[in-house]
Amino acid sequence: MELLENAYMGLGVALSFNNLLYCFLGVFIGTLLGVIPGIGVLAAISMLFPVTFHLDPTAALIMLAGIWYGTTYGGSTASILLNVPGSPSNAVTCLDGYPMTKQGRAGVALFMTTVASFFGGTLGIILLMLFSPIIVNYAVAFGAPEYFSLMLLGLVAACSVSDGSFVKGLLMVAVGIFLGMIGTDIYTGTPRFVFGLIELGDGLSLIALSMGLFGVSEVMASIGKVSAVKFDKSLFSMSAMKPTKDEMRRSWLPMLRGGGIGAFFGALPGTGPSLAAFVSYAIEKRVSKRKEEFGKGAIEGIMAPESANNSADQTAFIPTLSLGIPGSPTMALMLGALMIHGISPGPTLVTEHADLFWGLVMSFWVGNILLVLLNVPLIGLWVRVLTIPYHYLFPAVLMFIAIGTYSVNYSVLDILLVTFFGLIGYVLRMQKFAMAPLILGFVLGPLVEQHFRRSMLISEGDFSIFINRPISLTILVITLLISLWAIFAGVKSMRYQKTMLERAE
Amino acid sequence: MNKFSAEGLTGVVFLVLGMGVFFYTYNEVEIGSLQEMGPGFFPAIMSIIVAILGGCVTIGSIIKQSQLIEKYNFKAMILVSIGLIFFALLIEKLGLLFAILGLVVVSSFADSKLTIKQKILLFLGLFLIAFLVFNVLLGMPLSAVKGA
Repeated sequence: MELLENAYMGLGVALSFNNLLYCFLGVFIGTLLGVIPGIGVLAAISMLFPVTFHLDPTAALIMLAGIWYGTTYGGSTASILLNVPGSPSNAVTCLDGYPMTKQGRAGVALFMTTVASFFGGTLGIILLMLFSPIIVNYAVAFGAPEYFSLMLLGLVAACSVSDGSFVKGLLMVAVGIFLGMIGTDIYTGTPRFVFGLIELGDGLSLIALSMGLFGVSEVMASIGKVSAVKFDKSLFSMSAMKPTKDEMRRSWLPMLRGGGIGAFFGALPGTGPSLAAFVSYAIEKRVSKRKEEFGKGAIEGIMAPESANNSADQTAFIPTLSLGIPGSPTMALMLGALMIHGISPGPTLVTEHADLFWGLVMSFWVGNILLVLLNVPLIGLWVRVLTIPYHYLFPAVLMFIAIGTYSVNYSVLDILLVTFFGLIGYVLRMQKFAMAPLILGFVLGPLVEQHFRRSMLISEGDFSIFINRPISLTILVITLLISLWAIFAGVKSMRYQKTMLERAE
Repeated sequence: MNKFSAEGLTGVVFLVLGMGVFFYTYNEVEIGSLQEMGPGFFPAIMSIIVAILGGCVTIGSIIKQSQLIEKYNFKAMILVSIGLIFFALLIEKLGLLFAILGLVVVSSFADSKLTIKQKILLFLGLFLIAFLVFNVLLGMPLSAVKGA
């Protein structure tokens, strides 16, 4: 069995002292930043990104990945206790998690979400191990048109699912693609839109953009809104965490369904853990015999989304590592960390850097086990973190953002850009423009342009190249269906809002 | 229809920006042809798309008469920005200590629950953490005080 051999080899890499240490650091920091509302995973990884320059690529990726799935574990804590999601992918968990706290079942909720998270994570890792090598085999047949279509799918999917309208999402994607074109044209070496600023020759820094749009604007939005609370310690004792038999029995199927849904949306570029959690909650509510309990502390309502978002966290690595297509901005940062160390992402990564790939995948097992230890016996620690008032926290966050950005290129301009994008991000966020599509556009933009130009060169300007190739055509049809669905859903909700408005008047 | 929402205004901003960038690209960057695209081809397409979508957002906001209630926290916007700008200006001139001082003191006014004494303690604590993490642990060339 080749798979088992690879897994064994990877386990050896993951269990080396150095990698184990960075895995622990990653999941620890991830949980910490996940628990604190107002720091999303992208801001968390951006802040820690410069640190990875000093590590070998495997350790760097293991740590960044640890932060990525660690925030999802930690994020449910704030959702359950405060009714404020620690990170966007835990937003749905508030719906039934917080009512459970009000009923004095916080301990059970925290314990069971950790179980669900572990289950989802496990399922995701298994699928990642099984499917990545298969996709790599297919990817050999991928040419420029296929890559172009696939990225188009990712971008459209990201708009259709983000909060806010489809058109607004598309606009953000277009703006993102445009920002991605600032810098030097790869084909001709001509500088574009740099206006004489030498620092912009390499393009805008992804770190500066994401720290501004997610980090700084989140701080601005959270000041004066997030407040700390106090909790009774006995809520988190081991005995208070023990679920009843009935709760355990009701948890199995939602966990399974959630994990499956999560795996699908995680692997699809452009969608991710947030959507996975949302969809799995909606499905759970539909299939449940106890619909009336949802929103009032139904255990199914926390198990399904928490299993889904963790499963998606793991399968998100499938397109990222096997195709070199980052399905989300966070995944782009992971690829960025690889490229800094001279490793080019793409189908060859799995074969040529097998130790890195399998070491990373096996570190997910280690990380998930560490997270269970961190989130069950040590839950009291995280609860205490939640009692730190935000007016102490946000200057600290700003400081880490400022130093983190500066230390990437030692560029003052980058800090000013962070400020600028922070303001823009805050204003757009207030008007319900989603930031994720913008960053995804920024990340995929250069790749989209590259593959579009290459396709046009091959076909001598004939657009039919995109529909004459079966794989490309299939992907484009899916893209079209998603757009139609998004437009239909948008019109429907607009009509609904309008009738509600008229009724109100 | 006296209410022209902020959302509609944002759409117009992107409409104008997109058209502006299109004309700039058209005049300043080589466009090329579909068979052999120049550096300006893709930017030109994208700027038109931005303009069109900007227009769509505006039209959409008029049709659905969106009345998003936006309460901007201007104090946070301004003070956080000034704090970061202070940091940017001071980090290379005076070093980490003063850059953090500027950032922490100014930005913490955005949430005025801290007393002066608490602010100083917060600043000292953060400086200590930053110095230990970035200088000592990671060995980044960030001097605490420039010229000292």
